[in-house]
Amino acid sequence: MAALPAKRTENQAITRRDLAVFFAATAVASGQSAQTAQPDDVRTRLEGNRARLNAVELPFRTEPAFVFRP
Amino acid sequence: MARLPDDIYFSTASELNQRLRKHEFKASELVRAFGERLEKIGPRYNALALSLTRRAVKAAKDVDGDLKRERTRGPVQGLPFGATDILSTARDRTAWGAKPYSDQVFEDTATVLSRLDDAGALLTGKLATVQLGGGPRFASAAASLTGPGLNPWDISRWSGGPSSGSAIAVAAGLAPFALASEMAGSMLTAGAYCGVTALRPTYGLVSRAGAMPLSWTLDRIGVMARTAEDCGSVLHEIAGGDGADPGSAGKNFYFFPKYQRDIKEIRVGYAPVDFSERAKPPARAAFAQALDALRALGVPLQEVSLPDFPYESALETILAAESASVFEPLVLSGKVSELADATQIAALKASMHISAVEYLKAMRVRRLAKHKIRELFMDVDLLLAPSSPDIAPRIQEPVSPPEESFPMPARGMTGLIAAGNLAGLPAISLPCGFAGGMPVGIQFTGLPFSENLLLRLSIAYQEATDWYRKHPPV
Repeated sequence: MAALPAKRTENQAITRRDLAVFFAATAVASGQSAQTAQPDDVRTRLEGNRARLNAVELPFRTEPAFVFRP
Repeated sequence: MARLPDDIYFSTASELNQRLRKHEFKASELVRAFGERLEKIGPRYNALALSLTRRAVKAAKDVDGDLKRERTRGPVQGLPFGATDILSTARDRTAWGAKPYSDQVFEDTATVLSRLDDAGALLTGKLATVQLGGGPRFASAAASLTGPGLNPWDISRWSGGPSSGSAIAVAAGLAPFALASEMAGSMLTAGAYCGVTALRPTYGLVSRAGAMPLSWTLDRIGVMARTAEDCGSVLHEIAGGDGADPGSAGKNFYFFPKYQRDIKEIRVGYAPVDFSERAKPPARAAFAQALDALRALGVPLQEVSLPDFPYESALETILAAESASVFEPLVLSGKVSELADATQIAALKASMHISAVEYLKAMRVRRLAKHKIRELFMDVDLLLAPSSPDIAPRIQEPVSPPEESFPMPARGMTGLIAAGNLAGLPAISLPCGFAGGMPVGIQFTGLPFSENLLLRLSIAYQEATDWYRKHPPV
């Protein structure tokens, strides 16, 4: 599989927390709250997907549901 | 050089190969004719990402030498073709349809393209795609470096996508076949919108090495052509194990549909509601005709419905989480803002926050759904549904359904494309008529590695109908 060009360099150390701050700053700069930085349809779709998946009853048992094949 | 007859542009790949073998014209003449047409007409529909015609004509001269000496290498020998710009060709620009990658060059050629090269097929151009193959979500047909894919049947309408350029190229007679990609319905939908045949193979049957990764557990490379027979011939060449793709199933595909069972013994499951209530009214007559044609062939149809699962939600979650991992460097670098679609930018950023628990939940739902779908196939051999319930949308319309349309009512085959992608199933979309002058299509979906069965029935359907012969007035 073709590799993506490496472009992380100074961003290498960026953490998820930094990312959240970045998004919040972007939002503030554009006059939005951090929560509304994403267009509504993206946010509501993600929330909708989460709710619909949570509504599926998954069997709690010993059968491996998600496996790694060596 | 003699001008080739105009009928070549809408001939099938099989017909063109036969004419090459009869020495009616040379491969170099055929490739030049198609390549120049792609260069001239492709941009009219925003279908061309990169022309490779000059190189293809040069390579065709070697193929002419082989054909002259009757060294035949199979049904795609000497044929021009196009490939989605998702696939890399060594030392050429491979932009993935996206501005941040507009100068990207790889050292290797995608496995599928090398295999077609070995078979004597000639790549005349890279074809347009929605940026980053549309992932994880996009809102506008214009989300592409080359602009919106314009439908050759009506340029005010979308071609479908992300496999826009491939569908346009085949529909407009710019290439007899093209390679395309699918992870969430791209090939089947674009095939139906543009009136061409589209084959999505079983997950793992065709190598993705050299293709842009978007979702490692969903990505697939497939074929668009005029006929199911042509799709089978191309699949025969590109399928097979590849150590360079960890998702490879290590299986070959031998195209022998005639050794499949009689079509009167192929049990096809369908839901009448898909063809009546769910289909948009203008398209219903074409879908009813398709059912009639299958009944006339003696295909046993029986009513079934897809098990109730949130297929789209599982697929979107998996696609979003995996594509966020793939494109994390793009987001962190800030270059994501160069993309041409605000929803796609936001979706890539937001996808970085999908938790591992959410992703694994989607994968567990996927596994559960796969088992239930397998059970459905105990009663039938193939599933049948409209490829899309409606004709191609207008360019300015949003390309994905709004959140308010979810959850979709669990009836009939609602969600079959998402279910088929989640479960890695093969499927084919066939043109089946028109609604308001625009093509519509039906799809068959089968069990993993049942491509010959899918093709057996599809070929019989296309022998009994002539929708695949219709083409726009280009």
